[in-house]
Parts: sequence; C-alpha cells; structure tokens
Amino acid sequence: MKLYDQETGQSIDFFFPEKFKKVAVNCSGGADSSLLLFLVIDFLKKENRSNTLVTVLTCANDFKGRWNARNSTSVINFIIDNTKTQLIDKHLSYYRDVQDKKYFHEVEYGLINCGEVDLIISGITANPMSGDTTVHDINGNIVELKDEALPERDGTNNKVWTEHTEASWYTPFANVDKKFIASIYRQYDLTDKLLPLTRSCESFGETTEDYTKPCGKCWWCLERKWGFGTF
Amino acid sequence: MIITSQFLNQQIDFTIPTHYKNPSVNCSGGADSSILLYMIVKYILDNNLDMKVNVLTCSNHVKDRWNGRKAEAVINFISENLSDTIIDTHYVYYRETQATRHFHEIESKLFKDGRTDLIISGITSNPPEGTIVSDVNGFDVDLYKTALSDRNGTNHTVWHISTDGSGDFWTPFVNVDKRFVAELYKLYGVEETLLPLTRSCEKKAKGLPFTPEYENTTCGVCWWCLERKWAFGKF
Repeated sequence: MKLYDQETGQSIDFFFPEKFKKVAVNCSGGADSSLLLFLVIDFLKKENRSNTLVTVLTCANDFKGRWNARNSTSVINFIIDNTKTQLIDKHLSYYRDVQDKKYFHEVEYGLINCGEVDLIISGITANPMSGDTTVHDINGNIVELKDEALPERDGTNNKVWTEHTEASWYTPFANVDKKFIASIYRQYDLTDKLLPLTRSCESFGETTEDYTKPCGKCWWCLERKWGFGTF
Repeated sequence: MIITSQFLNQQIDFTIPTHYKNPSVNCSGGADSSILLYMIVKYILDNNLDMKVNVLTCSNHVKDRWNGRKAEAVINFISENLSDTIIDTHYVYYRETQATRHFHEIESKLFKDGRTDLIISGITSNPPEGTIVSDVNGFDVDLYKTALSDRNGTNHTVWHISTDGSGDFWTPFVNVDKRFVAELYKLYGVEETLLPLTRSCEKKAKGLPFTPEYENTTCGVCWWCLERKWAFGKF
C-alpha cells in the first residue's frame, strides 16, 4: 500500500506479509500511533486478511496521569465505529510508573512467549527534516525543533524491519517525519475526526487542565504544530 | 475480613489468601464490579500484600463498547485515589456480545499462560421475593419475577478451587444482593465519587449510538436500572 506526500516528497510502502496473523500495534493515543492503527486496519481490509487478529498495546503511566489509556481507548472506539472492523481483538493497557522502553519490551516478549503475537508494529517517526524546521510556541517564541530533538530519531536510514525467529518488529514511519503523518491524515480525511482524539503534549496535569489541553511549549506540542499547523 | 450489613441479614468474608500473587478482576464498569475492584486494591494496600491485579473487561459491540470506557475511568479513579502500583494490566477484549463463553475463553487462556492465578467476579444475588420497584414512568415492576433465575437465593458457592489446574474463581458477592453493594459504597466513602463513574443501564437508544451524553444517562425502565434504583435509591 503506497502512501505518498506530494508536498515533502516523502513516501512509504506500507506492507507486512500475510504470514503474520497475530499483530500487535503500540498505540499511545498520540497522533502517529493512532494513524498507524487506522492504517493497519485499512491495510488488512484492503488485503482481505480477515483471519489476522490485532492486539493494541498501551503503556499507561502514572507520571503522565495515565492519559495514554484514555486517548487510545477513544481512538480504538473511533476506528471500530468508522471501519466496522472486527479484527481488533483486545486492548492491553499496562500501568507503569513511567513510559520506559523496558516496559514495552517486557510486555511484548510476554505476549510473544504466550504465542499471542508474531509481529509488533510501532509508529515512531523520524525527527523533523522537511524544509523549515522552526516553529512558534504558544507564547510566540521561535523554536528550532532540531536543537532539542532525540538524536536516535534523526535521518532517514533508520531500520524499518527487525526480524527474529520468534517475532518481528515493523516501524513503517521510521524514515518519515510528522509532516508526512499530517499529509496522510488529510488524505484519509481524518484531520477533523481522528486527530482531535489524540494527544501529543508531554507536559503535566497542572499546566494542561488535567491532560485535556496542550501546553503549547513542550517539544511534542511544537512538533505537532509544525506538522499539522495546530497544537 | 468480615463485612456485615448494618441493616440486612447479610455478610461476606472478604479475604484473599496470600498465596495468590496475580489475581484478575472482571470489571464491566458497572456498580458491583467497580466497588469490587476498589475493595481488592484497598485490601492489598492495607495488608501490604505482594500482589498485582489485572482487570478484565468484555467490551462488546452490541453495547457500543461502553464497558471498556467505564472500566478505564474506574481504574483511573482507583489509581488516583488509592494506589497506582497495584493494577498491572487492563485487558479489554472486543467481542460482538457479552456472552459468558467469551469470558471463559479469556480466563482459560490467562490461567494456561500463567498470567493469572485467580479470577474474581462481582456477580450478586437477585433481589428477594416481593421486591417491587417503580420505573421512570411510574409502572410497578416485580424485580424477583423478572430476574435471571440463576442468581436467585443465597446458597451459591463463593470459592471454586480447581483440582485439575483449570483455575480458581472467587465471587465474594454471590450471596448478597445489590443493597449490600450500596452499603459498601457508603462504607468506603465512594458513593459520590466512584458510583457516578459506573453504569448499570443496559438499554441502547434505538438506532442511536452510545454518545458520551447518552452513555451518562439511564433509561429508568430496564431491569438493571430498576435494580440500581432499588438498592441505591436512584438510577
């Protein structure tokens, strides 16, 4: 399934082999992973893979008031309502103190060892790289996104597939940035429907009305504004 | 821990043997299972037990999956107000209907994989004979005569301990009725905070989806609304 953003020239070939029948999608309730889950369902429908089951995984951490669980639940509900899919089998929200990779791996391997999952798909994107990567924060200050980006997300040579005997990992967005994500939202007419259910802001409850509003200053708010034009 | 009703001839023994380390609680987002989950987390906390709890929810498409949303809100309340380290995972499984076989399928898998060692459910006994309640239109309904008969009486087995490794089950409320559950909400001081997050009404607005507005209203005529009114004095 070819996805292309005309404006930035970025593209991906969204595909995973039919041999994977038990797919897990990491969904944080953020913009990228929510679109990812939608695309997985759309892909399975287009490929007529009615015997593939999808498990959604969410790390709901106390540090962030567990908003990931709330938002991902809304995202799943939207996707089921709008696609009528019966392929989402379950949603596992695991409650941890912080959002640490070690928890992701622990849960993923637990499911692999039980035979519940054979492919794990994550929506991590590359850092901003298309055109001007400066953006105004909520106070009007100009911020250069590249200055504070996580270095492991730089560039376009990131691994998309990691294959092991017991399971594989697929990160289809690893070499595209948030402008690409925003373009796909528009192409699927999801900007006004799915995007509002998602959250990117990583600030705490006190500055975000209990995790219901964006702060407009954290890096993830700014990346979202850069990609979508809005917090 | 023995809990005795102040007004009824009803009592439960709410004690979790300490050899269980990873119990799972069926939580539908309804009043009974939500207070059950609250009590279990509080029990673990108060007794400083080495236990992590999973929460299981059957989120079914016939009811527009409100169970998943309500159960998540209950977990959030418990994490905010009691402890954020005891609930480990919320398994929300999506099925067409809320059929018992779906529960059994998930429970069996969890036992088989060693992901749980005890399943706890909040099923209660039916209202007793002669229980009449007025619905929202003023019609009187005999709750006993219109109830599911498998919930009648107070001689149900509370503990099912397997001898073949198929799994242990505990239903602490099975011999008490919803009035006892209402007393528990008062006893734990959560009638104004936890109860409003729960839903008992099983009626779907004809042809309409469960919007957030509808999800927080009640029909006042279905059996579950009437049972809730009988026990709590309100829908």
